[in-house]
Parts: sequence; structure tokens; C-alpha cells
Amino acid sequence: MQEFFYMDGKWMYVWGSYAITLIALVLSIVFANSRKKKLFREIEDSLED
Amino acid sequence: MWAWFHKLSSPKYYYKWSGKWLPWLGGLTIILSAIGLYWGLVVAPTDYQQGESYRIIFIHVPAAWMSMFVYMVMAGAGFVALVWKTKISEIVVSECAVIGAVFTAIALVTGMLWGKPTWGTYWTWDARLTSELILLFLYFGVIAIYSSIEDKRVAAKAASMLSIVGVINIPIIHYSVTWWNSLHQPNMEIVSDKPSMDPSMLYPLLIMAIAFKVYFGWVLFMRIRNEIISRERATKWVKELVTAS
Repeated sequence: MQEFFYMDGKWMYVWGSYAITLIALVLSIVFANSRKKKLFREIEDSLED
Repeated sequence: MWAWFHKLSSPKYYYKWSGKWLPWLGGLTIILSAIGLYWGLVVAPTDYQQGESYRIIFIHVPAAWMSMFVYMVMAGAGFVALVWKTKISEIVVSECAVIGAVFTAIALVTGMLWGKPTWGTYWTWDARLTSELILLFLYFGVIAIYSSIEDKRVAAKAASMLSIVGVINIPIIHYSVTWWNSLHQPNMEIVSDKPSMDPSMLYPLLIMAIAFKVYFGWVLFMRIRNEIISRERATKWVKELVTAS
């Protein structure tokens, strides 16, 4: 297991790449979801006014 | 077929139609990514030359392919927006620009992280790397144009024009390693009797490439739906949708 994470001494490059990719892809989904919620809230508020 | 496309250009119809696909696209992205990552990181053998650092290929290459694919989708939508002036195609241009920029940034950063242990440097002004960086600037240009013009229909027209002009960069990226001396490895032969990669590495790469494509569809649909809601907020159907939720 330790050998797997160590990646032949290149763990910083390999896991760094995967971490950056994962963060970017997940954030894109989170931003899209939060924008949807924000838009719905804004429209709901405007309907109440 | 044309009647269906015509129907799809209606924001209301598109919103309802795309909503049915979202859970499937999301689920498929997670399943394909899990298979591709397990295969690529655990099952695929170590490369005899590069050792373990080659495993960056399973995200770097799909991201680089997507950076060009998304640009072609954006330019295609730009063409439709200029010729047929449909609202959906205008929205596709603006939303593809953001997603494409993310994929291009991933391709560049993972390429840099792969370059250091392989070439001994994070960056070099090599034709492939430079043309990919220009692609990122083209995406930024489309985003900047679309954001800076208040009238979204005029903004979409200008952004569409830039996206079409920028298509010239796509063959330059693809053939850069053939046309110029490059540190970057040559293009991979996939559709061939003798693929340039062993199947034990090629299959997880292709699975990751499909996963990235499905992910693109997932995020694009989500972003288009948001933009539809934003633009159509004054319409009766959007008000009814919000009230019903």
C-alpha cells in the first residue's frame, strides 16, 4: 500500500495532478448547483414582492 | 429529425428534456471514472521507461482531448448561433467556453507536473505547449467578450465569431508535434493494427476519455439549464417551475 502511494518517488507529481483535476471537476459541479439554488431563490423572492 | 432539433431550440423544451438526462450522466461519470481510475492507477503495469509518473496520462490526455473537443462544440454552436440565431446555441457558446477553459487548464497543469519528472522542467516554449496555452487564451477571450457586453444576444454574436476564428488553432495543436521539433511525445496511434500503447494502458485511458466526455455533457446541461432560468426568469413557465419546486 505504501509503495502504491509512494509512486516510485513521484507521488507529488502524480497525486498532485489527480488532486488538482478532482478539485477542478468537482468545483465545476458545485458552482453549477449553487448557481441554480441562487437563481431559484432570487426568482422566489421576486415573486413574493 | 429536423423537427426535433427545431423543438430542442426552444428553451422551455430543452430545459425539460435535459433534466431527464442529468442523473444518468452524473451516475455514468462516477461509474466510468471509478473503473478508469482503478484500472489506470492499480491494474495497469508500470511503464518501463517513465516508471510510475506516466500514470498522469490517464487524466492529462483525456483533458487535452477534451480541451480541443469542447472548442469544436463551441465553434459549431457559434456557427449555428450566427446562422440560425437560436437562443440555445448562443448559450452553448458561452457555457462551453467556461468548461473548455477548465479542461485546458487541467491539461496544462497536469502536463507541467508530468513534464518535471520526465523532461526536467515544468515548462518549455514548445509548439504543443504554446498552442495549448493559446487555446486557453482563446477561451478566456470568448468568456471576456460574452461577459463584457450587456446585451446577451449581441455578446453571443461576438463570442461566436471569435470561437469560429479560433478553430484555426485546433489543427495547429494536433499537428504541432509533427510540424515542429518537440519535446512532447508524438500523437498516439489508437485506430491502427498496432496501437502505440499496450492494451493494458490503452483501455483505461479510453475509459477515462469517455468518462470526461460524459462529464462534459453533465456539466454543460447543468450550466445551460441555469442560463435558461436566468434569461427566462420573467416568463410564466419559469415562475411556475420555481413555485412548484
